[in-house]
Amino acid sequence: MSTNDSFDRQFRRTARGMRRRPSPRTWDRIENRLDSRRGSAGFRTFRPWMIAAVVLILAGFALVANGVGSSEYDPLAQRAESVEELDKAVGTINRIPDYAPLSEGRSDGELVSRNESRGRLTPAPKYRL
Amino acid sequence: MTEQELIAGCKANDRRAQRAVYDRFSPLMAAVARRYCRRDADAEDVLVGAFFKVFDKIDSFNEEGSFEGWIRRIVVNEALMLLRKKHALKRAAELTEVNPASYSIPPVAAERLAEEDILNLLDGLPTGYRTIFNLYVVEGFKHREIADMLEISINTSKSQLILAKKRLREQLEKLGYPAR
Repeated sequence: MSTNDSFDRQFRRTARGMRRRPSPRTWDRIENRLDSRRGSAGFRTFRPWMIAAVVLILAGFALVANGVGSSEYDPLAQRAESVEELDKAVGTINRIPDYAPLSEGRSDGELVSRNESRGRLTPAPKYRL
Repeated sequence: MTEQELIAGCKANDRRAQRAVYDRFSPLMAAVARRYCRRDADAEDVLVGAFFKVFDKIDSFNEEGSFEGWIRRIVVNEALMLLRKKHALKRAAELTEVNPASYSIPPVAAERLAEEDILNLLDGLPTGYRTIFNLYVVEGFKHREIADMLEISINTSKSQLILAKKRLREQLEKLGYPAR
């Protein structure tokens, strides 16, 4: 076992002492990657939580703006008004005309239906006036 | 510039300091990468990825430790990631019976071993053997650590090392190094 250990040690010493000259383009490739990282650093600063925060702030503004705008038309949000004031407010609404009973009979004394012929709608002889 | 000044420069994203760190450590790290990767192009990819990480993660470097050791660890990790991506570490066998005489290598062989022979020997090993031999013999990791890193069992790690040494012994004999 000790012979193996000394082989390992010797191999390790030789292998760890090795040096190789990398090709000149290796540094160029590293530099390109470093440059592209620097270029994308601006985008990387926008983290998802930042975007979410901006969306929440915008949504909050939108809600507040909507709330303020619609409060003018919300009758529940208005102060109590006297009956006279309410009358003025609804004065422009067209009133439904008062109930008026129909007078019996018609001047022409005839019933008209779109589906039936005029002859079939004629009352039986015993009911005729 | 001292090592501390270089590290401070890298933390400040100073390109001259980064270049100086690269110039100082890249020959050693290129050799590390090449020991794991048979192809020069793969070794170069490992070196590029590793040095980019060195400069990108320089803030996480604890200055109490060795800077060279920290960089070496990143290079080794990068090499393992590349091998894993290429599925080069998939096949791993376990040995049930082992005869130590079949894989023992006389130390005198290693004494005479030239650097280029080391690369040729390692290139002659299958990827799994070479990786575990590198991690155990050269980097000095324990089998338990290698098993964790490569997601294999400890026995598989031991078996691969024995098979690697057996193959190395055969290759050394072919190269004319003393086998006994």
